[in-house]
Amino acid sequence: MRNRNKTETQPAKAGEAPTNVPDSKLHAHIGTRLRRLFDEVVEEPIPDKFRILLEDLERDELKKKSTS
Amino acid sequence: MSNEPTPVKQAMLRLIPNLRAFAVSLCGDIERADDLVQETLLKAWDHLDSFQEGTNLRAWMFTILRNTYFSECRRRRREVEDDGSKAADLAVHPGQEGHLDMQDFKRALSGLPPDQREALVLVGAAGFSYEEAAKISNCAVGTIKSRVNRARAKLTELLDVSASTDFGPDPATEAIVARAGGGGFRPS
Repeated sequence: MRNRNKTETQPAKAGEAPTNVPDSKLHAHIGTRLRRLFDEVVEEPIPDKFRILLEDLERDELKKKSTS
Repeated sequence: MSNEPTPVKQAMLRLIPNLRAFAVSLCGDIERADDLVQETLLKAWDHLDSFQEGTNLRAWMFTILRNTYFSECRRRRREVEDDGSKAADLAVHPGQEGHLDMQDFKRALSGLPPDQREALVLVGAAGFSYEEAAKISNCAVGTIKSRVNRARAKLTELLDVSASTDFGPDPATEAIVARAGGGGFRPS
């Protein structure tokens, strides 16, 4: 696997649009979009099935305690 | 019987959106992600006695989730190379600024190996430190750093062509991006 750890401006390859965008800008670009993707899901309301699941688990737990 | 939420249940409930986001980034499919989250909640609940009070519940549950995901992958076999290509099926609100841009990004993300994508998401989106991410992924800190670097380099390479549309629109570039992002995959 190629080692791409060095941060350096990527040279334009044949057939591709040349870019002189420095890596730090592209990294920020990546970070912003990554967080946006992540936050899109985080901001969704919690589906009812999960609330119900936790309530069921808790109710079973309490039942176990009261009968032990 | 009281429906008063216990602290643990409340804490877990609060973590669900985060867990869902992480699960989606791993498997690229909201339905499968929710199954993963469900399994994670069950396992976490069953093993609460092994959770140390005062330590990071979020990191602990993230660990359970990713372990569940990767062991499922091994079992399923067919998704060992799960590229999360369905990630772009998730609705990015149409008409919003950068709709195509996000589709390109999702496609690029789906092109990463799962361990690199996981590392990038843990550090770059979920807000964990390298040390925390290493613990969650059960590897060395150096391994996480290497995975993150490689993920960034790979994304940079994949997005290199489309990046110029951000910094200067170019129809020819868009054509290249459209071709590169194909591969039998059609975002919604």
